[in-house]
Amino acid sequence: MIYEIQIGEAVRKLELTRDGDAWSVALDGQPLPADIALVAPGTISLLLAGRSFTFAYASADPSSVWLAAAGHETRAEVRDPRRRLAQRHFHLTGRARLNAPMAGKVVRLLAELGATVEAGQGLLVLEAMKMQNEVRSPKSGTLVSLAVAAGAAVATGQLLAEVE
Amino acid sequence: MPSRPPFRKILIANRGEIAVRLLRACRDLEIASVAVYSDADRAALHVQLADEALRLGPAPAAESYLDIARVLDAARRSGAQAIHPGYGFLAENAAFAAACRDAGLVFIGPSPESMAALGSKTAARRLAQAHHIPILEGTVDAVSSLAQAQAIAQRIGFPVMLKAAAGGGGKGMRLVASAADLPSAFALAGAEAAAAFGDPSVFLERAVLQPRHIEIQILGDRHGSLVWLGERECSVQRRHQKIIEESPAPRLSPATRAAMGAAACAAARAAGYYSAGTVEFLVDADERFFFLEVNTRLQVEHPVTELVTGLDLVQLQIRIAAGEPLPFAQADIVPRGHAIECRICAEDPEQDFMPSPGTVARLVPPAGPGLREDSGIYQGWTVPLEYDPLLSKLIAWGEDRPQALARMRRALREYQLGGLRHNLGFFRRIFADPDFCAGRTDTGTVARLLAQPPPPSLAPDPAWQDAAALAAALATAAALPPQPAAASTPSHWQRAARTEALR
Repeated sequence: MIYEIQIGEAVRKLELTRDGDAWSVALDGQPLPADIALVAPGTISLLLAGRSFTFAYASADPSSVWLAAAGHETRAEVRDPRRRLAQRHFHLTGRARLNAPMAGKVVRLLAELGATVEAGQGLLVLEAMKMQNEVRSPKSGTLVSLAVAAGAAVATGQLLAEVE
Repeated sequence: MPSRPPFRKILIANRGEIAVRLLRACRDLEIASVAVYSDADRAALHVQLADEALRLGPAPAAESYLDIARVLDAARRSGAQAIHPGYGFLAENAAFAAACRDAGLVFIGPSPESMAALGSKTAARRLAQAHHIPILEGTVDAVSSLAQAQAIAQRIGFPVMLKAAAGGGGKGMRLVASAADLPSAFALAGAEAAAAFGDPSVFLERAVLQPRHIEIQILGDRHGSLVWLGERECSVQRRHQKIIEESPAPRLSPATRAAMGAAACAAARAAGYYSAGTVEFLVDADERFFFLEVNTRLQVEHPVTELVTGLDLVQLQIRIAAGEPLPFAQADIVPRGHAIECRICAEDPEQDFMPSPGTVARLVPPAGPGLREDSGIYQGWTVPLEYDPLLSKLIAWGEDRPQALARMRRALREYQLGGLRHNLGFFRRIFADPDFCAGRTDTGTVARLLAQPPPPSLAPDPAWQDAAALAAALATAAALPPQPAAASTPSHWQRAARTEALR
């Protein structure tokens, strides 16, 4: 399971795999030895190189999670690439808004305004942390608005395009 | 105080943390407690903890907690003998105190007569002046016109402070730097005072720049005994409202402290005061003090005084209201150690402390030596939009100020509150500030802190950032949000989390 986690400006890639009774964790491609205990609803205990972190968490809003440990708090946006894949196959009606899944730069546009697009077709390419991601159409229809141009910097959640 | 309960049943005409505090005092005294609530507060903690609870009316305070007829009717229906008003709402309303008396109910507070004598800031200034208590130069009566305000301001010299006569909580208050600023400030302060208190009168006094705000707790019985219970330093304020209070005040000489105590008692005696009250002073850089006003009620920050004196002010208020004499004299009051309080509010320090209601999704309060928390919230509760953003008061006690601060720092580190914006992070910052730690605070402390970027030492280190990324993924895998009220056991939940993660 791979997650993209954005905390502040930083986007981290975290891979979580079940390894017997434990999890194995890789952060940005590097193994992260971690002892994980889900100690109570809303509480996760982590031992990282012997350091103890007890995180309380809660849903901050539909797209982010609030986390607190040892007198620090933060909000993290978690993107689950597989879930996004699944969402692409939902048949949507009406006008679909496409928002930036992360802060980054629009590298190039893959479709023109007014074009007929298929569900899952790439509309533009977004680059963040040196990784390029295709942003795909959530449904079949017409590309009725393009809110950004190639080279534009976008913030998380910013409107990119609309398909009707 | 082992005697029999002073009352059989008390109605608590308030909500939030103070209603909880009051009904706990009732329970300690084996007195039945009656809560009242608005439609927005049916699920509130004070309703849950009280012995009985009666609905007052719709959510707006004017139709519930501020409606004298409805509160008195609830008291009548419940058979309560006395009413405790807490602070805010009807607590300083002399007409309410008089209406209680007329209805045959004991108002747990001072007499309506002393409330009237001290309740308006201008009346209190006149009383202080008559008893040779130092006041800031200015008017002792409301200013009737802009022309008069200009004339007085020219005489005492700018900057001046405009204040609502009926005021409190910073509303109707304006600092005026020059004659050119006076016309708009005069109009705005008057309009704000009219909106907040139904009375547009304002008065003028000389402004003390970067003053300290220090207040004296007083307590008197109905037989003429009156004592003062030390002071509280309340200089750390935002939007003219206190957020941190402590006792004793750092950097205050014993002679000044004693003189302030004597002045506070003189003002209270002049008004025939009984019950708990607070006399507020401004203290300038040369430790000269000036009478500001009297709060004729229990103060939000009363726990600070309770921790250093060992007294329970609410229980004492109840006993005094029942006619009991003060069980001690001034010489018996020996404060011990240092106490400090943080007001935890649902507000966003990054957005000018705008109130920010929401649901308490996760709540892990701190514990351990030297801590007290007076809270009005619980996990799963949605903080209503209609009322004050104060959620809870966290109070730390230590043998001295450094120990009290260290305990508060520890508590702020342990405290986890998620789901809404709050000021815990801002408190962590204040308690790391060298000036604050050295006791160098004044009413400009918060503004100075906000003008600087947070120190890098307060930012989490890389290992914390790594752990947070992992926790974020695990929290997502465990299917947000957790169900705080659900009866499912952790093991159930852990199984579910694992299944989720492995999907």
